[in-house]
Amino acid sequence: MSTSNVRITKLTHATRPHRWRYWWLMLVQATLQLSVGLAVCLLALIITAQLVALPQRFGWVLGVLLLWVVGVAGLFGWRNWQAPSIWRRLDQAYGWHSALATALFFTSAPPTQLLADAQYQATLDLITTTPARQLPVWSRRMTLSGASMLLLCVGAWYLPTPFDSQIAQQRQFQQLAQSVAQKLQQLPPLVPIDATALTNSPDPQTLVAQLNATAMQVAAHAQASQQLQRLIPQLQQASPAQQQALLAASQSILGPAQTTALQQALTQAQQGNPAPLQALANQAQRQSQAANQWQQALVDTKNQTLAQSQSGAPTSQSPTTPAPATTNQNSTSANQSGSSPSQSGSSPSQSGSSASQSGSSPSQSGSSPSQSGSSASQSGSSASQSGSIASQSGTGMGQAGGNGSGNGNGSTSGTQLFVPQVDGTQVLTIPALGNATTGQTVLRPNPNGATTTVATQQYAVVVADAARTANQAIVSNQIPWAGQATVRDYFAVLQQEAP
Amino acid sequence: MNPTTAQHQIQRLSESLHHVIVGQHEVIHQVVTAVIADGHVLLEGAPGLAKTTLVRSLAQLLSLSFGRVQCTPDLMPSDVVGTMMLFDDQPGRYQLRFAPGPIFASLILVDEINRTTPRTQSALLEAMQEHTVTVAGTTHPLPDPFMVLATQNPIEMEGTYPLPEAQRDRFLYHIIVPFPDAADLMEIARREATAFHPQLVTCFDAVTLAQVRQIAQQILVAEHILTYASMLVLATHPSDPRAPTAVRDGVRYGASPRAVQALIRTAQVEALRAGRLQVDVVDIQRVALPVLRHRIVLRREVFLANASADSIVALVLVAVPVP
Repeated sequence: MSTSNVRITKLTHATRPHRWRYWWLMLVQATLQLSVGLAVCLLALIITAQLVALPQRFGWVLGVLLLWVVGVAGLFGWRNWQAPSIWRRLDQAYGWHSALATALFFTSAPPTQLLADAQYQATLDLITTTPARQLPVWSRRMTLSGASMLLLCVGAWYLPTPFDSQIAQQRQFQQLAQSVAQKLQQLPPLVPIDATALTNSPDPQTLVAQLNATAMQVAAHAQASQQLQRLIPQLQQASPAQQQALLAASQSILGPAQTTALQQALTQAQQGNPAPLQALANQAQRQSQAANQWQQALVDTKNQTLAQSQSGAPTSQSPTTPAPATTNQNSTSANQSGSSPSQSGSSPSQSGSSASQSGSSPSQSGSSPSQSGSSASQSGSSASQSGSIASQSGTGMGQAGGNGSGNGNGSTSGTQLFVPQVDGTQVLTIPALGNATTGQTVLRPNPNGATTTVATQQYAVVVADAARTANQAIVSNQIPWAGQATVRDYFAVLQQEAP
Repeated sequence: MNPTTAQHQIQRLSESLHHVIVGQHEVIHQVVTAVIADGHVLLEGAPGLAKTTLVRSLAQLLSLSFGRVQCTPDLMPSDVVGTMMLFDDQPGRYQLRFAPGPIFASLILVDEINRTTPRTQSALLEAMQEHTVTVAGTTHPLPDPFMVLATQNPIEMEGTYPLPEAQRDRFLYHIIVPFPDAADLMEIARREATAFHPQLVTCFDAVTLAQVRQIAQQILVAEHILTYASMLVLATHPSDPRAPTAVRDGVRYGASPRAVQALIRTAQVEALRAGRLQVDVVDIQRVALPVLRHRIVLRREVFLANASADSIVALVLVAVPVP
């Protein structure tokens, strides 16, 4: 080994702790510089996730962290690639004034040999007497910066921000979506549901759209089961030719599989074995009951979703309101439980047919043909819904079931009742109280376009009562608006009766 | 002599000069560096800033022969370098012999060099570069060491002859002598009031100076330092791609290769003065301004816009990455 190589080996060995220290410093610097960006990204991600219900947020956070790691590695590598050799950087970092680089790379000529030897020895002494910790990896300034950043993050997490109300609203919606999914999962199996998609719904509209799609499937099941229940006694009493005619007429509702099963059961019954037909009837009854439960749950959840989307954060505002405001949703649900009105009005396929109301509900087939085209009386925001209200009347079944959700807090946008329609999205809106607070006098818009001065509290009570009454009436299927063309007219009457 | 002794000798020389000259620390530092680096110095400053005193004191401290040339427009080259004259050493026998001029001394003060004509200025060219003088076909060697310290007055520009680029390039350093601050002026006044006359004690001789110079020349210069010095000089050229925008827009000619030599020589002295056996980047950066400022020729419009070569050098130092 030549003299030069021996020197290089010795200097390399002597500088090992300094080199390690320097690499750490570079890594810490790159990490810290990108950590500010990471903190900002994570904060933005958290807020965004809470605002728009970002699906798979863990994946996003993991992605950001991965990006950060890649960024640190990239910055570290890029800096090392850009910077001069480690020897020169050690010279600069430790203040060795090119001593190391000169000792390593100076090609000594005869006149400078003595001085080169002295310089090498001096450099070796300098390196060995310089402690590695002379290079501060973590300075007080960095500590202060880190502490202030931490404080900033904690402050941003706990202190109120402009997004707080939206985040709270979104959290409530997420809880609602979760409870909706759980509720539907607990129901008897009837139609397939995607609980994950329901839970991860980004907004109420999406959730309602999914519920509507489910409702249409449920309605088809309900219609088929009711048709089957109605058809079996008729088939038992009909002649073979009539049986074929009835089966052919019902095939579009029952579907080919159920028609075939019915035909086979009917054949066996004619051969003296009524058990399959009876089993089919029992199955239809169970299916009908299940469909009723599904429809009830769907209407209930849709009302909750709509109420929450309309009122912002309903539960948090309830303590300031008179009695009906927050309890309305619950009471509405309670009122409907136990009874099972058929709400097959949401199914477009029933148009022109006569769906029977199962359970305690009598058939309303053709009971209310007079409803058509009479619902233009609601003013303001509900004017656009008149067409949809009217559209249900053409079925002649009067199955405008649903919940009332009175919002009596006097400060939100209005009171809405969910009335299942063909498109599944229509609601009946009772005019809002504007920004009035409880106890103030407001002009209540009347269906005829005029206004009436009422106290907000009275108005809220009236609206809530109206919703509850309507709800009970619909649930018990005792249509109290006899003589009134539509539900809206019924509410108009109720409102006119308000003090 | 070893490097430590040389460092102490240089330090003593500087301290002795500080006894005579009030303030002007940077000027003294640069002059001493130039003397050790065996280079000529161009001192520029207003009258009364102790330029001449500095040079005279330096000659006394170094115990070197001192010559002075006071430049005027009618000064002839022969007045500087000497001429052939008739001497009657023996009665009736005249001999034509060379009578050396004031330039035949180790330390020459050329006062107000820009007041004399270019013809006389150019008479100094050979002396400064070759350390010889040729008169009537005969070349006369100048004493060793030989240094020219010229002064020029930047205020009175009328009737002056600015030094040509070729001559400016021969000066190792161009030192700007600033006006003293209030504290220095008070000290000057105090010395005047108390009739203080510092006694100079010779601390150097020609042999010592030669030894110190030899040590300085052996200071190690690593490859990256050579690269850095070269990059600096190249960056002063407007045609160089590494040159900053200010150089491309404002410089007509960049520094000559003598600038690289000057950078390395003076940086070696700076390293020795700092007690190091190797040149560092900071040494190059420290000497860059006095080495480069007179070697950069600005465009006329830039010059008229009161831009200075100093600002250009500062930009070059920023633009060239440290290796």
